[in-house]
Amino acid sequence: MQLIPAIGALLIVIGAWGMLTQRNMMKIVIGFSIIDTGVHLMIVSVGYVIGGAAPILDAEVPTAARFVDPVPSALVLTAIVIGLAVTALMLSYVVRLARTRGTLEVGSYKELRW
Amino acid sequence: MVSPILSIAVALGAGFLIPLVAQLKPKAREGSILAAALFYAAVAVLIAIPASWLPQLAAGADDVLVFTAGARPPLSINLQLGLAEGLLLVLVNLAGLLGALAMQRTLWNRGATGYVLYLMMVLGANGLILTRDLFNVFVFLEIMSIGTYGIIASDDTPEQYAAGFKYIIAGGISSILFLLGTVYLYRLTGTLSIDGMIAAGPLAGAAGFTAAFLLFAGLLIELKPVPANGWALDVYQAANPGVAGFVSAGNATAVVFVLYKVLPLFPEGVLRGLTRVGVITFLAANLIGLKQTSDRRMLGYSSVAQIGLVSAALAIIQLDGLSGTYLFIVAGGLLVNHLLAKAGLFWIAGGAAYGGADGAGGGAARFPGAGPAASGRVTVRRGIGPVAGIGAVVLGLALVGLPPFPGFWAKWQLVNTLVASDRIALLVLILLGSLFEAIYILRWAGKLIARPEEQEAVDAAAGGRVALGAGAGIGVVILVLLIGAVGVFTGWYLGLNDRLIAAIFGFAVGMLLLEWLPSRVKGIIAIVAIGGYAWLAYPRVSGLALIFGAIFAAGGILAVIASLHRRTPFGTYALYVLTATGLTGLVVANEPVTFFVVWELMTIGSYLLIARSARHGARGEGGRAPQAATRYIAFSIGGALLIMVGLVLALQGSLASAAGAVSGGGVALPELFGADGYVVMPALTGGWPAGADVSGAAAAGAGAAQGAAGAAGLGAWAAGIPESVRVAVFVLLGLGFLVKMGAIALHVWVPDSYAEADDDVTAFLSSSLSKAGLFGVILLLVLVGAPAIGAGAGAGAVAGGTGLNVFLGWVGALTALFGALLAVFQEDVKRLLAYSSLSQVGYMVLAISLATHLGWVAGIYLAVIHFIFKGLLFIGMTGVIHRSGTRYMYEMGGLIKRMPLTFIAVLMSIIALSGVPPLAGFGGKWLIYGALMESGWWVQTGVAFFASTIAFLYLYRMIQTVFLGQLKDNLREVKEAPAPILIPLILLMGALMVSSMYPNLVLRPIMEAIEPFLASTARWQDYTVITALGYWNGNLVMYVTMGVFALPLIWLIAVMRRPQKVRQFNIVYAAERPERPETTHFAHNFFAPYRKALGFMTAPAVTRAWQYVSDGVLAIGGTLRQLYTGNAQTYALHILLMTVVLYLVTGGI
Repeated sequence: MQLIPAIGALLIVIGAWGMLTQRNMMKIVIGFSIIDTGVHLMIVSVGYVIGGAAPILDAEVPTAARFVDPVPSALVLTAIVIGLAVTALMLSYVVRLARTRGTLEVGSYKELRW
Repeated sequence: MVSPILSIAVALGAGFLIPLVAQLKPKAREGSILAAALFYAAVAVLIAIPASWLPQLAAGADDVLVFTAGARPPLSINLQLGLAEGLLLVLVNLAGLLGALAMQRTLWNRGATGYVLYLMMVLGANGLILTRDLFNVFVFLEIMSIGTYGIIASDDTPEQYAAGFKYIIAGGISSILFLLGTVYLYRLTGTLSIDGMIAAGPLAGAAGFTAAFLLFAGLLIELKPVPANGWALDVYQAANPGVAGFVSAGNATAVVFVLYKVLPLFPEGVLRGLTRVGVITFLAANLIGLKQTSDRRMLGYSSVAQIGLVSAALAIIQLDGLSGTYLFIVAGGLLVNHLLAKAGLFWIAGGAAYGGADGAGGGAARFPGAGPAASGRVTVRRGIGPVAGIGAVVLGLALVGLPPFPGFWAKWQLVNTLVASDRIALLVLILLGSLFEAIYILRWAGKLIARPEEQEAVDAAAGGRVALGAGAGIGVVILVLLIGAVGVFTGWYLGLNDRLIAAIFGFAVGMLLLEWLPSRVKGIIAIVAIGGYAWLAYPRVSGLALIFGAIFAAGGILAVIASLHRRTPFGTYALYVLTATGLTGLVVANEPVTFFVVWELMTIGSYLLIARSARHGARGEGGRAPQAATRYIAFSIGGALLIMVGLVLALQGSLASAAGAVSGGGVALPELFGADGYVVMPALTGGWPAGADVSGAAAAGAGAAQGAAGAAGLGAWAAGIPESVRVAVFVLLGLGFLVKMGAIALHVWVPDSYAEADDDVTAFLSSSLSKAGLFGVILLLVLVGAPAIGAGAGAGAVAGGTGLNVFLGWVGALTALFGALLAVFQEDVKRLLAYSSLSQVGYMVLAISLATHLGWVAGIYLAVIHFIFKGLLFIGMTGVIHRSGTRYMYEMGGLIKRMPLTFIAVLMSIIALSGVPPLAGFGGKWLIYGALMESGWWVQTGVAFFASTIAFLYLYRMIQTVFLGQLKDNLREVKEAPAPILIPLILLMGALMVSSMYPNLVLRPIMEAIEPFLASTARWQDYTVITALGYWNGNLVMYVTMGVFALPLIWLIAVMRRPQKVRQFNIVYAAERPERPETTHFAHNFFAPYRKALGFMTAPAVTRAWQYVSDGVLAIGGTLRQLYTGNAQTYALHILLMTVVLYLVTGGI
């Protein structure tokens, strides 16, 4: 079952391409979000077991059954929350920047350099 | 004691509560006060919890382990609080607390948001240090980052938004890589616990490598390696200094600690990659730092560099399997040093840039325009408060790794390791980086403390003192005390517990505490302090050490007496005491590490004296003055680094030869390291080896024991070291000491430093400090001898091939010649004397390098005599300059009538210097020529003789144009020099007369001091010294000369009748008014005809060559920094490219 991680990798490449080629800061942020999604897909696929049961243990489930590893799923939840916060911060920075100079062009904010 | 996990709980709880309490009374002050109180209480708890565990951890208790949810890993997350964690937590949180105080006004204006974001940043750092779970590391990394992203924009400037955006992009990429690495490591090992992963053993195959590499890449970006760090520099430059300080001190420390935790997971290829990336970062960032005009960006480059160095050190420790104490001293030392120093420097830079009352704080509205505040330009300022000044100096010195601060001990040990493990390329790169960093940091600190009253062209609007806010001020004071305490403790721990060395600091700090006293009183206390130090040191020294110690201490005292004629600015006497006691301490040092520490202290003191001098602040002629101090420190630090490597090499060589472990040219590693893998410094502090002890402690015993056996010879210490290592040691140490003396080709710092320092400081530098290098050369010859190069394996000192001392001798001869040539054509009397000193030191080196008994007698005798007559000259000229208000000889003239006593002093010293009988200089010259001819150095004799003729030219010019000739109108009312200047003059004249009449008073002790090393070839008969080439009776010469002068005088008086006094205006002047009056003065361009003949030799070729070097280095830095385009997208590209390249290079394919 290599499809999910492959899609994840593809999303990462697309997102990275977008981040590196788009001049518009909004689109850069979107590129970043796409990378994030790709990463999440890859993480989920790490723990997935084909045909495995949901990892909820109670008296009726035989302990010998094959479970999906719950840890990556838990990790991905945390990662999504953090990704959300970072994306929100990025967007608010873009908004504030755009207000100072009225443009979303990433190349117009480079007073600080060298 | 409470569980460390409560730290995190408390911070989280406070984070949620702060906005709530602020909302209780949103409009009233009470809400804000409550929020602030809650914030500071939370940070205080963060300090208190780890601090409460420290005593028991330091006593050796087991690490505190916290298992969450009552389960053990891999089922739960666990935290660990060991000694390292505890110390770092206390320091990081302290930096957090002080940083918040430094930007208190900004935080206050932000209200709850500011406090919460700041607390989040600190909390993240705490979590990173405590947790042992990899995913938990990711979470805390994000908490810290998000807090930082938010607080960066605390002042609402456009620059802060731009920097913040770039930071988020970079941080985002970093966390993606880190997350992927974590998850794949989990997949491979089945656990998220770092300890569990390490226990799972080395990761196999491409998958294992890739997983570890992803983790590494994620962390590496957070460590800000060149070139993937453009965003970080923008953050350092734009953020509020309080934030920048914590990002540099707290965030970076936490991330480095995470790196340390996961290092065992990385394959060897990655570790080697990390070493190289770290060292390249250190070098490149420091190189670019040289070009910075914005001080906060400059500090940013330095932060980046330091973290690179720590990372490289960690990788080396992991690669070589070093651990334990070594890790603490090197990695811990570098980290703590940077943490404490950088935070304070950022606050000071902030205060300097804002120039406002609330230096570090202040919202955008209070800036004089948001631009200059955010970009933090280095502007000309009207002075600096004592706290900011002392802070900038102390923290700056600590940052660049000078003793006694922790960074120094770390660097010393690191150099030890690099030398022992033959990582010569890395060593060279690290030393170059250190040099660059020292130059720009100390140049900046030097500019800050330049004297305000002399500064010109101060923009009144931008003026005002560099005042720190109260918060930043308290912070700087605490950091200064803490970093000093940590450094002194480390030195003590390593076994350097010499009370006399500690007294050097003690005396200087004590002087600083007495700053409130009147200037004169402080001067007198300084005299007592230097004298007291000499008195304390006296029982410890004998022989050569006693002679040089006397020169150093007496020079300091006389210069301080002379300085009483002026009102000295803040700190002068503390620096005088530091320099003079440091110099005296050189002869007390009884082993290499102490010697080096004292050497650096003396260098620091003298640099600051120059930086604090009146003319350093002023623009000077042609803008030359501000460069003087920078040149001085650049050359001094460069020389000191050479000395450090030389000493380390010699130490390791002697240790290895003692252990019989010498193999080829290298030194075997294992034998040098103790059981836990670090060089035990106490083992190195056994003192100079017997028979090679110039400090005399051992010589007294050894001399008695040897008795009839005669001299021990030179190079005893290095007897067992292979010749190639000895050559390296000789070259490194020799160059280092020659720099201090200003030998030819290394002399470009001399004239400016000497000329621009305050006049009494110049007298001290020239008459005493220049002998420090000479003392070093003597020490070098005693310890290492003169290894030969050329003919195979030379058995002894000069037995086979060409001894290196021959090269040294030529350097001395050429220095003597060119120093004299350059002196001839100076218009400025201080520069003339500076070049003259250079020339005289050249003679001394020439004589010492003979490595014969007579040569040493001559060299040291000249050193003593030169101390006397150069002191006379410079102090005399101090008086002349003080009274006439000019340093240019063509503006003086005829002063013999107005300043007769000074004239006599200068006349005597000139007679002594030029080596004319009857004064002692004659003996010096006679001995030198004798010694040279005895060894068959005929050509050198010729050069020395020629130089001596030239010396006569410049001396004649000086006395003629300053004291003789016509008195100028504006000098008609000039008075004799003030008493503080006359007292040292009279003392020195007395010394000169006595030593001329009774040369045995000086010569006998010198000969006795040399005898343990070199068998005597001269003998005494009453007042007559007899050598193979003749004899000299100073007493007789004096009487004969007196007779020769007295008889014609009596005859003249007897035969002359009615002598008529010629008045000054009994002359017809031409009725001309030239455009530039000085060009018609006979004293201007005095030796024009000689310039035609010899001028080509004085072309500043060496200065130009060094200028090319400096320009070249700056050009490389300028080119490199073009990488940082300022575009967020380019920075993202840098990060990705670097990751890919590193993956390929470290073994991904």
